[in-house]
Amino acid sequence: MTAPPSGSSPLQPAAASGKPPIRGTVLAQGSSLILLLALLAAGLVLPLLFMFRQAFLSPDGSYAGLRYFRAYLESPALLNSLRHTVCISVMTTVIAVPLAFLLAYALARSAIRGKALFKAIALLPLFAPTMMHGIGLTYLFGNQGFVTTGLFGLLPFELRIPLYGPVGIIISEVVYTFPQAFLILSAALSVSDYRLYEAAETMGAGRARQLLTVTLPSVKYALAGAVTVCFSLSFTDFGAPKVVGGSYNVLATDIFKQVVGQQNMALGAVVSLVLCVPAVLAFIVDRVVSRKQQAYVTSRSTAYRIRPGRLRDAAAYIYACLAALAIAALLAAVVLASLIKVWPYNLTLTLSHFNFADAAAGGMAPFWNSVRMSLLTAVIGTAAAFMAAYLIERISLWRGLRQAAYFLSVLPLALPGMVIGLAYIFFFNHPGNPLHALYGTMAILVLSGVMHFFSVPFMTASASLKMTDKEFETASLSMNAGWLRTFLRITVPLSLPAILEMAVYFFVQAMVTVSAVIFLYGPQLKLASIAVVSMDDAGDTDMAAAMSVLILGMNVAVRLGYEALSCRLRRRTVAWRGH
Amino acid sequence: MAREGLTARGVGKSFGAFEALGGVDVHAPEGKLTCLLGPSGCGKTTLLRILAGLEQPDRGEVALGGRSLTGVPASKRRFGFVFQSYALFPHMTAAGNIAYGLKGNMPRREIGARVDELLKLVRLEGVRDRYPAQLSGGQQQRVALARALALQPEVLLLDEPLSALDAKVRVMLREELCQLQEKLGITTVMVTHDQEEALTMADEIVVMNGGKVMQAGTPTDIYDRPADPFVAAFIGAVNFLPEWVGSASPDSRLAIRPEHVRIARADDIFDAARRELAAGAAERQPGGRRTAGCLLLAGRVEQAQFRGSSWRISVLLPHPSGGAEPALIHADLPAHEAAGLRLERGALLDLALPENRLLSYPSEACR
Repeated sequence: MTAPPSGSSPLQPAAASGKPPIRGTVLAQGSSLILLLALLAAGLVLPLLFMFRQAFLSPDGSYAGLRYFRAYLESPALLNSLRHTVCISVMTTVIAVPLAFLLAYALARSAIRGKALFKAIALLPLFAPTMMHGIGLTYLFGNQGFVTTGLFGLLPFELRIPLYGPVGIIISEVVYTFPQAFLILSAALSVSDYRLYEAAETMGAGRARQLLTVTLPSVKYALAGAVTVCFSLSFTDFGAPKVVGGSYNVLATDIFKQVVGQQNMALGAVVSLVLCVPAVLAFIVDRVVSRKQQAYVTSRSTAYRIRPGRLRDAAAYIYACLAALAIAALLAAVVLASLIKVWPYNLTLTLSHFNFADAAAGGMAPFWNSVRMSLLTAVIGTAAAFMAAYLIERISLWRGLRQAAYFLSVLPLALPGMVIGLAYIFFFNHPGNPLHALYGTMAILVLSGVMHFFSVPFMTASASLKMTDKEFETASLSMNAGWLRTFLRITVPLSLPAILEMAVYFFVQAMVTVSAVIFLYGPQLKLASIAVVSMDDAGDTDMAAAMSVLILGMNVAVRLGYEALSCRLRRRTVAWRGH
Repeated sequence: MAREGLTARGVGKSFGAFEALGGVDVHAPEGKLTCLLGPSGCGKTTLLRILAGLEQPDRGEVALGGRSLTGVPASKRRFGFVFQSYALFPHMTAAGNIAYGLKGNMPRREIGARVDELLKLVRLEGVRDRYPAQLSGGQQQRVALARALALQPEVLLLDEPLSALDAKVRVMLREELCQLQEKLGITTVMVTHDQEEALTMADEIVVMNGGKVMQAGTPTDIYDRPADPFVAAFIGAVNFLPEWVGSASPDSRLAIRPEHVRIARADDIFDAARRELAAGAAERQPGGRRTAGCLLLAGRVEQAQFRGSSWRISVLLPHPSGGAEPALIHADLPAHEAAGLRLERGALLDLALPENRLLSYPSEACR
């Protein structure tokens, strides 16, 4: 293992001034790496081990063997939930992936106007908690829904669908997973190689044959990725089944009932392990896919050229409008409901639902708690994820440890929020744990947020670091600038766009999440997303709607701020970025 | 008038404000190899893509054997097209790539035999089941060629087919490609920016610049009688002589290729000229003297570079009255002829420019 080449400048005698900086650098880098590993251990490894252990322990602490696994397999109710969950996930995947593919294809391969708007609307559900989709559905298709009642009686007929149960959950999950699949497929469709289409054309292939032999093979890994993401997200989601599930139990609600309702920790742990299965599979698929996708385009590839086609454009436009309308209507219903006195009887506008005065939640405090928690998660998470990527990509100390850190950094991709929340209970609530004091505080909420959402920003940072030339840092070091100064003056500014993106991701995710934190919040520390769940539970659906709107509004505002900032940043740095 | 072969008439194409082709006429004779040659951005690839139907011209038309191809899409023209850097389908084997165009045009059981036949034609029997990523550059190129030939097209179009290969493979494939083209007798149009490639391979060369055809003709035509200064400078090297040298009229300038410049010395064919020069040394005229079919000029060696089989000698021609900058002329002399010459800087040297090798262009065209 060699130290970075701070002493390797020919102008600088290694013995005289070279030695001390090297030792200082090694010390700083080594201690940073150890700090990172400590964070990953405390926030990830130990809680998971405790949860795993819990599955084999009876309430009195004695070893129970596989007793709880057997109990799980012998419980018809729990097996029923598993069957429900698989059914929901399969249906969601089968519906969401083709819909997302069609929109991604329509936007990537047609010449319609307003693509940016369509894309923005398609991504809107990412900024809302999943409960919001369920609430929107109840306002549209519930017993007193806008559509159910034939547009409040404007139509001569009623349109009733059995919303509460699998139908409602599936629609919510489709809305929830649609943007994720859309993002993956858009990225894949935007990098295909136009030369292949021309080659196919000169050999007499028609449009349909080109789609089958060129387009689909070029996005097959992305399709696999979209399928696994949709499946595992809908498999583990808690928010939507909670709101529109009715008596239709799924795994995520089971865990909640076992742990919070019946205090059956061991069975909760067992269910958590089951919950991890598709996410772990998705994780493996994702690793394989991201490695293979890159090989498809080369530096010689040419960008796709959209040929004129009026019929195709018309079809694409109609579909994009329908998709955008469906999503917008769902969210608009919630916004409207939050502003209407009594849906559907008294349609006068009011802001009273935003008071939250008589709500079980207790005023605006949960909202500001959420903002505070999200800000802290964004700042600490971004710093930790960037540091992790830097230490793994750029330094040459302790190869084995860096590989372990890499694995732990991408591992959260395979962990549902409920599992993290439960693991944290078992670990931090353990009386013998010196970190026990964290339990119920803001610190544990932030830690769970940082760990839960760690992987995507970590990979963003890694990609950004891979793209910037390592030589800049070598040059800075050779000019005798210290490691820390090089990091702050060279590495961070070069990756600033990525850093902003990471922070926004952390913030938005922390605002909408409910799965991990529902086990962890303290009595004085309710979060906005949890308030949505409890207000909806208490029947204050209009207030739950209002709180959802606040979350969505905050996220959209942050995102718009980010867009404005990164636009200014691009303009300011265009001179040296060169494009 | 219907002509055999592939013809473009008055083809124009603009991309936004940029005029890629300004109404060009090009004829590729039946069964011959025609090269579109020019610097990058001259419109040659655009023209090839228009011939293939991959691009629609703004005006003009393309015709094959007198039959207009306007409105016939690329997929219906049945032209073979070899892309620059090939565009092989990365998820299909060599055989899969070649069979792509055959499917639906040929009974399924005959496809295998045809693929084998094509693989044999390009001498690639061994790589049938390999994917493009497992093939060398030269092998990929030959798969692309076999793929383009699979449907027995009337016309083969090649877009810089050899530019992605390293020098040795390129020379080898150049010969193979020529032999194959000759054997199949297929009308072929090839785009290249490499003048050597064009000179060695083409039956016909079309030199293009700035979206216009500068000259069309056989390689020897174009090399020996370049129609304008651009063609002369783009193909091979050329010396533009200063206005005060040898010009009959003030509006024209002379030019000559370095390998046509001779050094006058006592024991060679320019003997007579040399003696005359020596006799009249005192009355050397500005702009040289014409005698014995040569234009004679005196100068001093500025630099001599050894290039293996030849020497490149740079000679400074002083303006006789000192009224203008001295002019520099390059002469390429076979090594055996240069033996015995004094080539150090400043040595006096007499140049003989054979009149039948002199090129003459209007002055304004040379600026």
